Amino acid sequence: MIFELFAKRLFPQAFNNDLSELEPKHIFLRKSVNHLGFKFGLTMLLIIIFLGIFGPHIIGISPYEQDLTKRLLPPIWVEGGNWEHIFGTDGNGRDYLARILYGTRISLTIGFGAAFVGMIIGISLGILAGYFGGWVDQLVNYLLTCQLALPGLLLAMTVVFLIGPSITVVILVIGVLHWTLFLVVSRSATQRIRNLDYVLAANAIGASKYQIIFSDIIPNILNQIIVIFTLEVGIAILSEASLSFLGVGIQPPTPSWGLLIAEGREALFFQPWLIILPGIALFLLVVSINMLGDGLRDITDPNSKIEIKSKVEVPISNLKQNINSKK
Amino acid sequence: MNNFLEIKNLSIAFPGNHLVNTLSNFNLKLDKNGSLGIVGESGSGKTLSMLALTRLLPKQAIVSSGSIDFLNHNLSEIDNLNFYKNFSGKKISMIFQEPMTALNPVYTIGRQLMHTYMYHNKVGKKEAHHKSLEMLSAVKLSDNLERMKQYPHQLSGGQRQRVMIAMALINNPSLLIADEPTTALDVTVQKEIINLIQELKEKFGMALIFISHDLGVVSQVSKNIIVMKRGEIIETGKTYNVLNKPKKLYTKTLISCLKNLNTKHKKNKSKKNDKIIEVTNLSKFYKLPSKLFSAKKIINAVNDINFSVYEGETLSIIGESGSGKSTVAKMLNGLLAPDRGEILICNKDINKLDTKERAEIIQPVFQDPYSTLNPNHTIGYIIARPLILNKPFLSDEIRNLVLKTLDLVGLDKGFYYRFPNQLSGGQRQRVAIARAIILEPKILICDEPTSSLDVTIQEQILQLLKDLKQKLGITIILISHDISVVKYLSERVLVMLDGKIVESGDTISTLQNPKKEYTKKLMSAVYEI
Repeated sequence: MIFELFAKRLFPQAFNNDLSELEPKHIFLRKSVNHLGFKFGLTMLLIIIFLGIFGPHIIGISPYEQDLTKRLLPPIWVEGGNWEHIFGTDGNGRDYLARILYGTRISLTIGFGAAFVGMIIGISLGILAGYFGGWVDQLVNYLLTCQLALPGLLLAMTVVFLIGPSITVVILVIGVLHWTLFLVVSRSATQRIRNLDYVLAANAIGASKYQIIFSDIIPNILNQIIVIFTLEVGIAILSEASLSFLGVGIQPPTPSWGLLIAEGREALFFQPWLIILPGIALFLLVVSINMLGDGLRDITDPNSKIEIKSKVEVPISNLKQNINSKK
Repeated sequence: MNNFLEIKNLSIAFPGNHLVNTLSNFNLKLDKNGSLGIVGESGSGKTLSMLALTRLLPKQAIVSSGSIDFLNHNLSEIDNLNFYKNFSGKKISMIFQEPMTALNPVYTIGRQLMHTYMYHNKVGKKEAHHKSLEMLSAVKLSDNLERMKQYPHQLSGGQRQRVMIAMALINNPSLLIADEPTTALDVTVQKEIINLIQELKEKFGMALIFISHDLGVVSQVSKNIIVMKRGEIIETGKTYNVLNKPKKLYTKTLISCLKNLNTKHKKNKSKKNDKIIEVTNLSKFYKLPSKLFSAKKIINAVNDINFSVYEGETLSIIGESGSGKSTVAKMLNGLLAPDRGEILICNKDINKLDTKERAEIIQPVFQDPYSTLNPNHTIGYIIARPLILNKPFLSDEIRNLVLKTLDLVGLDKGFYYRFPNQLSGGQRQRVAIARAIILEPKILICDEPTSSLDVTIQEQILQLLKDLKQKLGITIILISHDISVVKYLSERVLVMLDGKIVESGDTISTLQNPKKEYTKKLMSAVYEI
């Protein structure tokens, strides 16, 4: 509802015009208004981002402040909790809500950053291999085999251990280790598209290789890439968690969700919320990103069957019939 | 005594926003040994009616009314189990359009034939084997013992279709339904298959329902005819009557489209203009990757051909699939480098031209309207792209030019912001033509521009090409396997077979008095009304 109101306020022309005069961006808007998953995912992601940016300031409690007299306080809904620490406190008496909110920033940065790094590497190699074929393809395949043969987590640990852990290093290392899915998908999609007539036609009208890649190939493999991207964001956040768990990711006392889960494991049986709360946060983030990705794929795919509801009811089949009968 | 087959008021709907009958009030009567042709464009419901008869309808389909009587049984009262056991495959058999996908690729021909026989008859393997061999010789395949052990991919399209026919007839059905059995085949093979179906119909004494979009073919095969459009029967009656005295407007246009295509091209005494294309000793080989212990295989796709094209004329290249005509088209366009020989366009070697310069001289129109347009671009952008790439225009100028070109190819300006998936096949092909002519090239290469379109649309597109030729004075090179299209549009013709030019010359004289054996065979395979 709110989403629709905003959309209508910002782009009134998208909702009043005749269907045949709609520009692509207006069609995008119209479709997104009708896609429940997209709206839900987008709203939830925006809320998470908002909380990540402003949350720590709003509650005004430092995530680093220790108070050993208030160790392991339970959250408000468990017996013994109080309003001072809504989510309770951790083993060092730090406020858990503040730590989760602050951890949002780090998890989001690492998730998107690492997936983005992986996407850039994977897509560029995949398109090169798929479009040019021949020895380029063989070389890329060799790289892929090497990457798949390496034990990823072990390598990440070694690299982070050698360079020294920081957010940038963690993002780069996770990104560099997670490009294989992007590569495989973009390569096979490119191979399929390369031989289609519209690529030949683009060639015939004088488009260069780069113009063909950027204008004909990338837009047409984007649907698949979006899905992989949303998957990889989740995977990256989880691998940050496992790196932190092993002690080579984000260093304490900086809070990240992965680290919170790692620290909470000692108290798993007696204070389960220490794991459950960051776990729920992680779950919500991954779900919202996946729903957003699925929605984006449905909306940007011109072949999708999402209805464009219009005030003036003109189904496309009618338009077609009119045109046919005119001939 | 009832009829052999009678379908009354059959209506089929698909659930959607509004329940629209995809097939409405379909009636059909057929005698034992009778033959019936159903003609219509794609989406006219001709296949749907037969799928209802064989219970192969898609799951969502709703049969909203109607009854089917077959051999004194009311088919709607028979449950599925009984139907599949006693009717489908046994009394009613069907041949499908695509022989490439209708056979299971992992089983041998023999196994598939024997299985079909053994499923309906309680017989042993030996007898089934014997029967299969008998059927294979009935459909005139040779080396049958050997064939039984072969897999579908080892056979050609025509041979596969013969196997399909053998499989359909092995249980001696009393009704054979042939759904576009020859559409995917070459013309010469098409003729053989149609003759075979007719012959077997007499031999086995069965009724035949022949579905096709090609009025010429149907008129050869069947005594009665049903013309369909948008799920409704437009006209029905004896084939001769319908063809010669059509009552309804749609039938008339359908027939006139065919006749128009078949009328002889008025020979405008074209002055011999300058040569615009000169091809000398052109060859293209494909090397198959070498396998272990076997030498590299080389296929001559195009083998040492010479020809030239004069400015302002229309030249056709005819040939079956695999004759190398599309390879020639791609090389002429500079999209494929020749292995030997030279292509001079306006006295310049095509492969040494800058791509932008080349784009302004020669442009292609491709066969498949569904892959020729980038699905992610709007129609406006697709047509404008050649301009954006090649000429420094202002965006307003480009928009105006695009709208002008849209008008020229007969499309409304409302198409500007549409995406290709909202367009029909014919409209897509118009967009492809618009994209090709917006740079005002001198030469247009049309590679089977109409072969995947319906007859009426086909005529519109050909008419459009003809108009454009007159308005813009473009030289057109037309690649086609369809003689009527060639006759309609072109002044000169080259006949290709296995990568070589077999015969060439003036369209009318070459096609009316073919000198070479192959051209004669090609011409004899054309059905005219």
